[in-house]
This record gives sequence, structure tokens and C-alpha cells, in this order.
Amino acid sequence: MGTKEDNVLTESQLMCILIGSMTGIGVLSLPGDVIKISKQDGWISVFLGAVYPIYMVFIANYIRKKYPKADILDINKKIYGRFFGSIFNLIFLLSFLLAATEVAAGINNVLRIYMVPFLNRWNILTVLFLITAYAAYGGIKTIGRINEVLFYGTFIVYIIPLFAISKGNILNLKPIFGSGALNIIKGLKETVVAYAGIEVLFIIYPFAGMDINIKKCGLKSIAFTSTIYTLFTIVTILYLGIDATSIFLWPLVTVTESIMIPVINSFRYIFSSLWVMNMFRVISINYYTFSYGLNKFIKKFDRKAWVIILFPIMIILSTLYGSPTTRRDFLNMIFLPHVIYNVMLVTITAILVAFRKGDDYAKKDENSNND
Amino acid sequence: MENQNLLQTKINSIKSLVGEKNELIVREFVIGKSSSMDAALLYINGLTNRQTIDSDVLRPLMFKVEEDLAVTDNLEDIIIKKYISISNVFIEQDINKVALNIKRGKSVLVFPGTAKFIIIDTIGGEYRGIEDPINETSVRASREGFVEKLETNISLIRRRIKDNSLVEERLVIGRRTSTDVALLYIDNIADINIVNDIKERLNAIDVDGFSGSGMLEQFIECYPYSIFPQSFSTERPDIVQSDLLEGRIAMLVDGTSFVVTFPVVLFEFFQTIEDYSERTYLGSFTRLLRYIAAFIVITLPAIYVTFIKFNPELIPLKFLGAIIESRKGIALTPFMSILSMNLIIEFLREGGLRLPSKIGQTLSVVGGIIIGDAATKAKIVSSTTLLIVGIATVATFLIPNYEMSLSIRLISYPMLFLGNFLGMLGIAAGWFFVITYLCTLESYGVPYFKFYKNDLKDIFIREPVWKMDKRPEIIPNVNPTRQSNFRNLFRRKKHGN
Amino acid sequence: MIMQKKMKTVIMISFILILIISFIGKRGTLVEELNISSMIGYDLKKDFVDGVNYSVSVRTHFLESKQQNHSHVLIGEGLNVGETREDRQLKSNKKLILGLEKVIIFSEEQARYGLKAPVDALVNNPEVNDNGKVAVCSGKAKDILEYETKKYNATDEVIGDMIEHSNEFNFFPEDYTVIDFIIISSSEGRNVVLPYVELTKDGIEITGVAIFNKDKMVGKLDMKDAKILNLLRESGGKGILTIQKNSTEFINYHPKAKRKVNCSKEGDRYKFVIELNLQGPIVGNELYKNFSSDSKALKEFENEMEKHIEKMCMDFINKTKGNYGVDILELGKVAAAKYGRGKDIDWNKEVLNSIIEVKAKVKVDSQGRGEY
Repeated sequence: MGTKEDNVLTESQLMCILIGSMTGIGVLSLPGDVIKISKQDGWISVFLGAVYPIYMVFIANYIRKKYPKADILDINKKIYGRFFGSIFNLIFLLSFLLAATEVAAGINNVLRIYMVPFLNRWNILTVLFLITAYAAYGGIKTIGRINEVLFYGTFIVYIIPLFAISKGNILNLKPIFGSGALNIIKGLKETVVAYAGIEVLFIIYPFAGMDINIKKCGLKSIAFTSTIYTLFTIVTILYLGIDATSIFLWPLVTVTESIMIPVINSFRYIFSSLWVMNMFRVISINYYTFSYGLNKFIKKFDRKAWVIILFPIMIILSTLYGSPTTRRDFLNMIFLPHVIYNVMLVTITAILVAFRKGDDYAKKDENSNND
Repeated sequence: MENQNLLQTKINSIKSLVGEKNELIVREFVIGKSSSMDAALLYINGLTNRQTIDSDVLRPLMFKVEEDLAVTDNLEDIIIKKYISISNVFIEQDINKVALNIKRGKSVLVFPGTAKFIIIDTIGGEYRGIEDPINETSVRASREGFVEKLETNISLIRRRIKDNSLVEERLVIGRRTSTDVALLYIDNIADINIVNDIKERLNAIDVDGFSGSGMLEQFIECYPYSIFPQSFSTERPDIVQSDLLEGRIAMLVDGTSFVVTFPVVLFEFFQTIEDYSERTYLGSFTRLLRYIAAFIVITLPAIYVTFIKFNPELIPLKFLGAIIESRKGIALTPFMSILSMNLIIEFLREGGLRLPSKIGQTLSVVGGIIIGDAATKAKIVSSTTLLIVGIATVATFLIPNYEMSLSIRLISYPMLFLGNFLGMLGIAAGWFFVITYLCTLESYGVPYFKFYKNDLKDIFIREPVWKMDKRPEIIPNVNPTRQSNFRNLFRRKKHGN
Repeated sequence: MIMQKKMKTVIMISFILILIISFIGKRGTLVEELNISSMIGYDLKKDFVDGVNYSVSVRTHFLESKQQNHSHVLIGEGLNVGETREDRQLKSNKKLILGLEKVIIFSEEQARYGLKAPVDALVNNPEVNDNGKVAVCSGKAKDILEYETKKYNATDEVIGDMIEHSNEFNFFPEDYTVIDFIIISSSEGRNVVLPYVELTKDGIEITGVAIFNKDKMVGKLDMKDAKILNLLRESGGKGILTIQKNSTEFINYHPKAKRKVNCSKEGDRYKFVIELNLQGPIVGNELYKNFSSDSKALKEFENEMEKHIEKMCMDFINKTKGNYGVDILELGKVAAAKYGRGKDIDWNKEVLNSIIEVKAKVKVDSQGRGEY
């Protein structure tokens, strides 16, 4: 039936997937975390945090030039051998499981407070994972298309908080650089974690058509994400000021309440419903990637079977996160080492790719093609 | 005598092929005044045009043949070229094809001496004439609609597209009905893979028969259980014409006036022929209205129930006062009221479809106004609920394609359930599910729901027609440009003189 | 193939089953079974030896009354804010929801004791209408709620509207909302000022403003002083400024005021220069002759008005400088923006120690229809 080549992502789909993967539930609480450390210069830390994804994009681009059709899981297996390669892969993949469950737990918390306080967390998580499992079941084609549609369809959700700029007070931002460069660098600890979604690029770049420039695509998505993060942080500082931000667990949602339109009582509700759709997107990307990776790891079950197997596992894991504070502590503990691990892994892989090992693999490839 | 026997055997074999109980008329006659050449004319009564047979076949053959044909060879050739004054005549050797042609209304001339038959096109019979398409009226476009006769339909399309590359492929489907099916497409625009795919599927069909293009397209579709229509059927030739020009393939079935086009995408169902004859902004506005209407049909009742039940603090105080006042003493919950009112509206809609028009009008008045009013007085629904249901119903009518509007209406029921039990999360989840489902649908390899940047000119708005330079990218085609930007020429003229 | 088909049907059925199972459970209450609050009042009673008694009254739409459009007040009392909710529910027949209340009133006693506890409960509750107005009242908040209940319809809410439209005159700012209170009271260098409402024998009236230090009320200004305070503190208010020589000779000026503050340091002390930019029409002139014909008179008026305003403001500042111990003019935030935040500087002390100057600029942009 297929007249078009299966599993080919277009440039805009790739961009939307990357943007989706990077903006997680963190956006709602990111201003609070970073302002605690860098005070009114938090937006500079947020902006500088983009250095992590930019680095990853460059490495992914380089690795892709050498192996356009093999994703990093295969490359790891080849380079480090089956045993170590699989272990490294598994730890790499765990970040997706982590992302999916933490976003789900985060949404659970936000929704229980703001939108559906009458549901218990099992209900919310079940419905959440049910529909994202359906999306992940459909494969990379479905994921690509949904991301594109939902990104443009719910684009307004990125603009809503910006309306609060008119109620803001520019004095809140000053003095710029007042908190000192040291604090800004310390704030990077929080913000770099916020961009941690870019690793999905390493697994899906084989699906992208050959004519797509990954570097351009990745940089565009990073630019968009970092602009949004920075703007959100700036708006939060302008409107709430650095002292009031620490009062709220999710400062951005409070900012959206500042917009007053006669008929609509609470803009926050519209914002959160659209935001929930975005979060479905994020979870489905991570769900898909994790099941895809597990398929490569244990070849017995194919990807679709993994999706079904993971469904109860994901629900149970998401309930273990507890209240928002415990969740944030846990994430702070786990995510930063994970980010460092990822950076080290891909760097070492890239270096090894540049040297001998790469040529061997390429030669093997050629030989197998010639046969 | 020998001739007679030969003739009789041939007639009997044809009769057995056509079927003993069919009303096959055997007209034996002698050709010519001078010779005594026997011949027989076979046709099925009711399928042929008897006047043509009388005046153009029997009369010249019986009365006008002067020469002695018994001694000539190439008998058929001479008869065709000299004596039969009908436009479509040909020689056939295969007796099975003879039977096939007889069943279609052609007549057969049988001669005792030769193995060939002469097939004469005398197709007649009563058919419906070309008239207004009933289900798709328009204000400014043409008033022709397809009819049941395949040749007329094909001629309607050929009149509009006089291109050399318009290809027509005929198939016969159905063991007993032997329905003629024609596939039309423009050779150097449409994607040949899709054509072959459809042909394969059609050829694989093995049924006794089917009634109408609706059943046929259900035999070959990829997602038989899907809610959304998998093909686009229309009664208007101008729509088929523009579809063919975009690279689609049209399937015409003898006996139905609905022509089906493949492949199909979601946005087609929101486009009408009216859009293209209107002013640009007007057309864009109407398009946007349709999408907003589709959104309202699906979401409005669900959001209403969610707000009333879970989030009353979102409704402005003045509305809330009115809602509370109107809901005093209502026995059913909003969910059940909306469900019951929707059910009644489905009854009205389905019932009104088949009633004679005069009764249909009375019924809708009775149903709409009186039942609604009585329901409010009987405290089954509140007036706000009735308003919401009414708005959703009226919005259903904006969607041009009837099947699509029913599908969208069907989606609103699960959405209502989700909104009632899971609140806003349910509605967001429902929308996500619908969009995911649309993204997984494919129609013969073409994604059902996908945006291409160039296509946006014709999806939510309608850009000026002279700007639509490229064909929609979503339908695979081999010839992307359909017009060039010729309006520059106007500009030059204006400034020049 | 059949195995696959079977698996597919099993998956689909379990999908629907899981969904339906999550439907089970009684949730939500229909809107006609809710008490909708339109006003909340906080009271405090200090009559226990070592404790205080919180009393929270809520005015709600009253559906069961025989009259149309009736509302009534529910009062809950307890030793802490949370338990007042429990007490209140004992007296009502429906669940209470927040989110549509227009105004929250604190009694002066409560305000002087400290608003941290009630506001904390408000911040915690996501349903609260953040755009509701806040005010302080004299006496008991309960009395004001019951007065409104008796005198006005259920859907009319007078105090909230009053505060909303107070910005027509007296240089009141546009918003005194809950979220403003939360933001301002926690920000560095800023102190909250709320309208002060009193139930006089003629009805409800705004009789001044209440001054807060963080979350405790420390003083009250009457309307005369409050007007000058608003002029100096807020930007964008409208009001009437008058030069009056005697009861028959006066001129009314109705400007819109914009303020700008410049901050500098002179040695150890800070110096604040408040620039007021006033623009507006003359609404009545009984003082100057030939106003509409002589531009020199206009200029004279402008100069006189500037001098008058500056004197008025400096008098006010000097009078109130030491009285309340807080910076009521929102000058601290300007200094913090310029000289650094988060350094644990007590801006109240610094501002009280500083030099404050006022410069006014007056411009008359219209003279109405004519002169009588």
C-alpha cells in the first residue's frame, strides 16, 4: 500500500519533535528554580544553558555524516562491543524513561492542583499513558505528524504568557548582572537540565531524509526553545519580581492569570489545557524512543509489543515520584549526572568514530553492500 | 437447410451463454432481395433501441441489398461497410464477448457460414436525464449532475477535460452483475503507483454483485473500520474535473450517479465548489467558518458539561446566574439531558431523510420547536442546554460533505463522555486521540492528514485563484505546476500606458 | 495472521475497558448545588488569653430563598484559618466554591494582627480569584457583608465595584487585587497600601488608605492625605487639584499624573527626586480672569499649580516621614534596582533617612467647552 517511503521525517517534523522533546514540564517551574540562584539575571542563565544542546547537535551532525543510517545505539554496539555497548545504551535509554515518567508525574501534580482536582492520580496517569501509548504505537510517522500538527495548532500557548509584559515592571529586572557572574554560572546547573531532551536527536536522525541539514534544523529548534525559555523567565521576573516568584510552585501559571479579558474568567485554564496537549506530545516522543530502543536491546519483542509491556510499568513508575518537592529533589539528584554522562558518552563515541573504529565499520558496510 | 441448422446451433449457443430465461429475441431474416442468405439478429428486448434496429439494420439488409452476397468472401466486411448505417459496428469472434455485448444492449448479427459475428451498437433503454445534483446544490457553479448511465457520465467529464492524456480504463466487476467500472485519470499528472494499486484491488474483487459505488469503494479501502470516510464521492462533474486536474483518480460505476475519487485527504471534505467562484475574502471566511463549526460540533457540548460540573468558577458571574436560574428543578443531569436531546435530534435527522418532502417539513417544525419547548417545560432539559445542543446541531450542517458531517457528529459523543467523567483532561485527551488517529490514517499510501506549506493556500483560507500555482503536494503527482503567474502582465500594462 | 488479529482485538478491547474503568467514581457537583461566594471577610477576635479566634464570613448566592436574587452570609469560626472552613460547612447545605468572589475584606483588627495566615490560605488554594479586590474595613467585616446582603441584590456587589471605579478620582491606581497584594508585600523595597472602607450611617464609603509593613497594618491615612500619597506613589491616576483662595475663588484642575523617580546617592544617604508630570483639563475656573483669552494667565496658573503641588507634597512627606516607620512612596524599589538587590538592606530605614524632593510639571491641555 505504501507508495511513499516509510519512516521519513520532513524537516519541519524533525524540528517540532526536537522542540517538543526539549520543552518539558520544566518550563512551568524553570523560572522559579533558576531565579532562586541567579535572582534577576536568571534569564541570562537560561539563555546560556543552550550551550549544551548546541554541543549535542554538532556532535550528532558529525556522527551522522559518517553513519547516516545507523543511530547511536547501533554505533555504540559496534564500537564498544556487544556487552559494554548494550550497557551504555541502556543507561542512555534510561533518560527517556526518566523524561517520560517525570513529565507525567509533573503533569499529574499540575493538573491535580489547577484543572482536575477531583481525579486521583491513577486515573490521570492511566488516561495519559493510554493515549500516548496509542501515539507511540503508530510509529515514527505518526509521531512526526502529530508533533507538527500540535506544534502549530497550539502555538498560541507560547504567546499567552507574553501578554503579561504590559503589566510588568522593568525595574524588577534591574540591576542587570547585579547578582554576579558566579551566580549566573551556578544557575546553569538548573537550566542545562531544562534542555535535556536533545538526545532524542541521536536516535531519530536515521529517520530523517537524506537532504535534511540536521545542523540547521537542530539549531533552529534550539533557538526557538531558548527564546521561549528566556522570554518566559523574563516575563516572570517582570511581573512577579524575584521575591514573589519563590512563593509559587509554578510561577508561569500565575503569570498567565494576569491577563484579563471580559468574558474569559481565567486565561490560566486555556493555557493549561493547551499546555497539557503539548505535554502529551512530549511523553509520546519519549515513550516511542524508549520502546524503540528497548526493541534494539531485546530483539525478541518488537517495538509495538514493548509499547504495551511498558504501559503498566510507566504508570507505576510515575506514581513513585510523590509530591512536587520530592520530585524536584529527585530530579536534581539524577538529571545532572545523567546529562554529564550523555555528554561524555557522545563525545567519546564521536572521537572514536573519527578514528580507526569508524573506518572498520564503514568498510564492513561496504563489503556487505558489495556482496 | 444446412444453413438453417448451422444458424440454429449458433443461436442456441449464444442463447445458452446469455441465459435461457432472458428475453432474447431472435429475428431471422433473409438478406437481400435476390440472394437467399439467411441471417439472424439477436438482441435483448428492453435494452435496445428498437427504432435503430428497424430502420438502420433490418431495413437496409432486407430491402436494399442488391448484390448476391452468398458468393463473396469477407461477407461481414461488406455488410458493415455498405449496408449497415449505424455508427458503432465491429466484428467479434469470441462468442463469450458476444454474450457480454448482448447483455449490454447491443445486437448481434449471426451468419451461418462464417465464424465471425457482427456486433451493432443499438443501446437504448430509458435512463434518467441530466439534471440538478440533488444533494449538492450550488449558487453559481454548473447545474449538471451525474446520471446512472456510464457513457453519459464519461462524456460529461470528457466534455470538460479535452486533454489527450485523459485515460479511461474499463473493468468489469461482479460475477453476476458484470457491472462496468471505469477509471479515469490524467496520465501525466497522476501517480501511476496509485493507479496500479487501485487496479490490483479492483481486479481482486470476487463477489456476486454490488449495488453502487459506495459498496465498491468499501471493498477496496485500506481502513474498513475507520469512522472517517475513506473516499470522496460526488455527483458533480465540475468537482471531478478539478480533482482529476490535481492528480486524483476517478472511479465511475455504471448504475450509480456518484463518482468516487481517490486518494482522499481530510481537507477535501471542507472544500466546496462554491468557494472558488466567490470573492477571496468571502471564500476564506466561509472556509474558516467550517473549521470553527467542526470544532464546535465536537467540543461545545463536552466543554459545557465540564464547566457546569467541574469548573463553575470559570463561567462569568452573569452567565452563571442565568444558568443556575434555568437549571432550577431540572430532573436530569446536564450530561443526560444533552445525550437525550442529541438522540432526539438523530431521530429527526434520520427520519427526515426518507420522508416525502411535505411531511418532512412538518416533522422538522414539530420536532425542532415543539419538542424542544415541551422538553423545557417538562423539566427534562434547561434552556441553556437546549441552546448548546441547538448550536452544535446547526454547526453540523456547515460541513459540506454529508458523510463527513455524520462522522464528526459521531465523534462528539465519546467526547461528551470524556468531558463528563474526566473533565478538561478528558477533552484534551480526546482531542489528542482524534488527531493521532487522523495522523495514522492513510488513503492508498497518501497521508490523510498532513500539512504541506504550499497546500496551506487552499486549506484554511482560500487564496486568490491566480496564486495557486502548484498542485497540492499531498497528492503525489508528476507534474507540479498548473499555472503560471500571468498577472504580472496586467501590471506592466497599467504602468506602461 | 489470526494470532495477530486476535491480539489486535484484545488490545482494542482492553483499551476501551481501561478507559471505562477510569470513568467510575462520583465526581464533581453540578452548578446548582453549589454555594457561590461573592465576597469574603476576615475577622479577628482577641478575647482569649493566649489565642485569637479567626472568623471568616462568606456571602453567597442563596437559591432556596423565597425571594428572587437573595444572598446570605455564612460565618465560620475557629482557632485557625483552616478550621473556620469546617465550622462554616456545618451551617450550610451546599458545598462552597471560590473563584468568583469579587472582593476580600480584612477587618482592621485582623490587618493589624497580621495577614500572613489568611493570605497563605489564599495562595495555597488554586481556585481563588487572583483578580479579586482587597480592602481593609473598620469594625467587623461581618457587618459590612450583612449590610450588603440586606441592601443589595445577590448579583450586585458593591464594594468590589466601588474599588474598581475608585480610580476615576483621587489618583487611585487601577488595581488593588489579591495578586498585587501578594507580589507587593513580598517584593524588596515595596510596601502595600490598601483602600480603607467604612460602614457609615449613610452607607459604605472609602474613607482612606491603610498602610502595611509586609503583612501587618501599621497605620491609616484619611482621604486628604491619601490623595497626596496616591499622587506621589502611583502613576496614571486621575484626580482634582485645586488652588483655593477663599470659598468663592478657586480653580479645579483634573489631571492625569505620571511619576518618575530618580535615585542618586549623596554620601551615605540616598537622594530621591520624584518628578510628577501632570496633564489634563481645567474643569472650573473661578480664580483667574480672562483665562480662555490670555495665554499668560494659563502660564501663570501652571506655575502656581506647580508650586502649590510641590509645597503640598513636601508638607505631606515631612509630616508622615517618621510616623509609620515604612517607606510608603515606593522609593525603595527604585534604589534596589539601581544599587543592587538581595543584600539585606532595610529599605524602610534607608528611605526614611534619605532626602526626598518633588518636582512637578503641569500642563493644561484642554479648557473644556468654554467659560461662564
